[in-house]
Amino acid sequence: MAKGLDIGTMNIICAEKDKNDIVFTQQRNAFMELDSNDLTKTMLDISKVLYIERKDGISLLGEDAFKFATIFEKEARRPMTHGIISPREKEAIPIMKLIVGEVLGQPKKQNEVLYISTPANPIDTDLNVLYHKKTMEMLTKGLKYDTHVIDEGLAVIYSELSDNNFTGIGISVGAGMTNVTLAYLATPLMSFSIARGGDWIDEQASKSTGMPKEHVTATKEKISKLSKEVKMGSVEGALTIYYDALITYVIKNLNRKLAEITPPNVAFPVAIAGGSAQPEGFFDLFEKRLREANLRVDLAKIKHVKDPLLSVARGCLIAARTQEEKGRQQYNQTQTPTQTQTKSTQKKKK
Amino acid sequence: MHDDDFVDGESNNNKLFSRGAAIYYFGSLVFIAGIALLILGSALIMFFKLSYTSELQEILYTVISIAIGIVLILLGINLMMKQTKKRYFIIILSVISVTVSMFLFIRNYEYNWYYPLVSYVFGLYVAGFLLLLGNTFAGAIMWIIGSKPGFSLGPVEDEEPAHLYTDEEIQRDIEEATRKSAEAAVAELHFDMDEAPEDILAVHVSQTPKNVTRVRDKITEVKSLGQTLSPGATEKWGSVGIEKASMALANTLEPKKKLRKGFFQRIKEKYFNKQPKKESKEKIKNKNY
Repeated sequence: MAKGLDIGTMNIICAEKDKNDIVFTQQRNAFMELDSNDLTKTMLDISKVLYIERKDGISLLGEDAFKFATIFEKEARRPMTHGIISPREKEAIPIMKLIVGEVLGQPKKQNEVLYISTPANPIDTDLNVLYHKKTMEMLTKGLKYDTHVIDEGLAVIYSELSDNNFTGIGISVGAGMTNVTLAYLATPLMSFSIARGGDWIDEQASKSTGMPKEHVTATKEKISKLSKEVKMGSVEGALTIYYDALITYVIKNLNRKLAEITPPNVAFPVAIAGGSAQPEGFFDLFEKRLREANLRVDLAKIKHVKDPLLSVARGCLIAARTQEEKGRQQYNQTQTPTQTQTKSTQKKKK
Repeated sequence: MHDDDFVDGESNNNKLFSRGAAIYYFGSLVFIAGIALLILGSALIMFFKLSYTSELQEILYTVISIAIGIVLILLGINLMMKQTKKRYFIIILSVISVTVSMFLFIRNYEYNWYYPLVSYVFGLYVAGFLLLLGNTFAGAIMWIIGSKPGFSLGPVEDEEPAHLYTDEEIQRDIEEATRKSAEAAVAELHFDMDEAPEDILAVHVSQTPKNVTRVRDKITEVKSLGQTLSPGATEKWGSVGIEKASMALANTLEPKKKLRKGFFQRIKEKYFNKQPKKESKEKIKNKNY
């Protein structure tokens, strides 16, 4: 059994195969602190929420942190920012260890293959993702998994572009970052990330409308369609504008990076996934802007991903299963000659 | 050769007069004027058919044109070259010498052109001419043998290497080197993750409701990904694997082709599409009329 894990700024999603199904286990990558007292603890126990008791208080983890943040009118804290471990949160690593452990569970066998998604190096900020990658790798290895790391964009390609022999452009629009990978026959030729994503849209929309960021985030997640016809002063209108701005920014940077490489002369399909690519109308807008942009490569189809939020985790699972299959084949190849040798010696003995 | 003839870049810059584009253009003009005078002198020789029996004034005009022309050519070349203080002094000295000699020649040629005045005037001119010639020669030799060219072909600019690296290229190289170094450092890094933080007293996880989604999916991509990543490796009978890999490559390399629309798709587009129908050519014609 192999697993895929999408470690996102907003969500941590684990994908694993169960007979003919894929099971996705999802948890919010967030926490919230509360004062510790018996009443609170009783209330939390009754509510069956995930929390940790500290010497100086209680930390709610995951989805519940978000829910309780709304109830208590507090801000949920995030262990990750801009796609990597938040340097401002001292408790980021232990909190993430708990959430990841909770989502991932125990390995079903020793050294179970696990692929985790990590962002590529950003091109518009001096953030470096190396430390984050290593930390996440070690964190999951600590849970006794045989961990491998894969770029988010490549995971999207693995998940969505199998019909094109894993050739194309994979874009993952997450909360903290937008990751882009161009691959040819499953081999990445170019990978980069942009330090803008859903959070950036929320911030901009919040600044424009004066609404709290949490409210904007909640509206964004409920929004049914990106529409140009909205009420004056509404959050929906601001969200549509900043979605458009983000898409344009991603495409401009993609074109700039394409100038640095010499891609093969083929038409590249594009797959767009990620938690922030969920509103209806997003794909149409992206496709429109892509066609207008005159990219340096020929574009084939723009694939409308069925479930953008789960796509990266699914891609990680595909990579993990492939790795597992490869390991199994190698094991069989090494075993087969030994078995034949034993059979022949048995015959000789007879 | 003096010390200041071969100097390093910095001291050379200090010792050289600051030269702008103006002096280079002035030198060019002087050089062209010299050429023009030399041509004029040569033309006058032919025009006047100069000989021992020629008129004195004819000889005077011709000699003046040629003598000044030659000096102006050398002066022009010198002005176009980088010069040290001493060389500028030599140029000035030679110009004075030639000017005085020409002044004396013009003043005395017709009526007082006798020895030893002729020797003095000729001597002065030759001295000035040789000084300029020597200075030109020294400059040319320095330009040939010196690593730092002393021969300025244009307005003086900073020397540049043969291949120019843009700031972006340099920045990219630095980033690449830094990335490799950091990756190597990170690969060696080992975290001690076993110990839980001291301030965590208890973790309540047992009854946490998880957000679980179950999707029917056989993920057939696993096989095709394995095939793409290592073509031919998974097939024991060789040729089949190679054929599959070749087909995969051919499909990818195949130029963009239009997707064939299905029967229902075509019906949907034809009868249920909200886009305005294309008007027939006849209708457009009628409209235009």
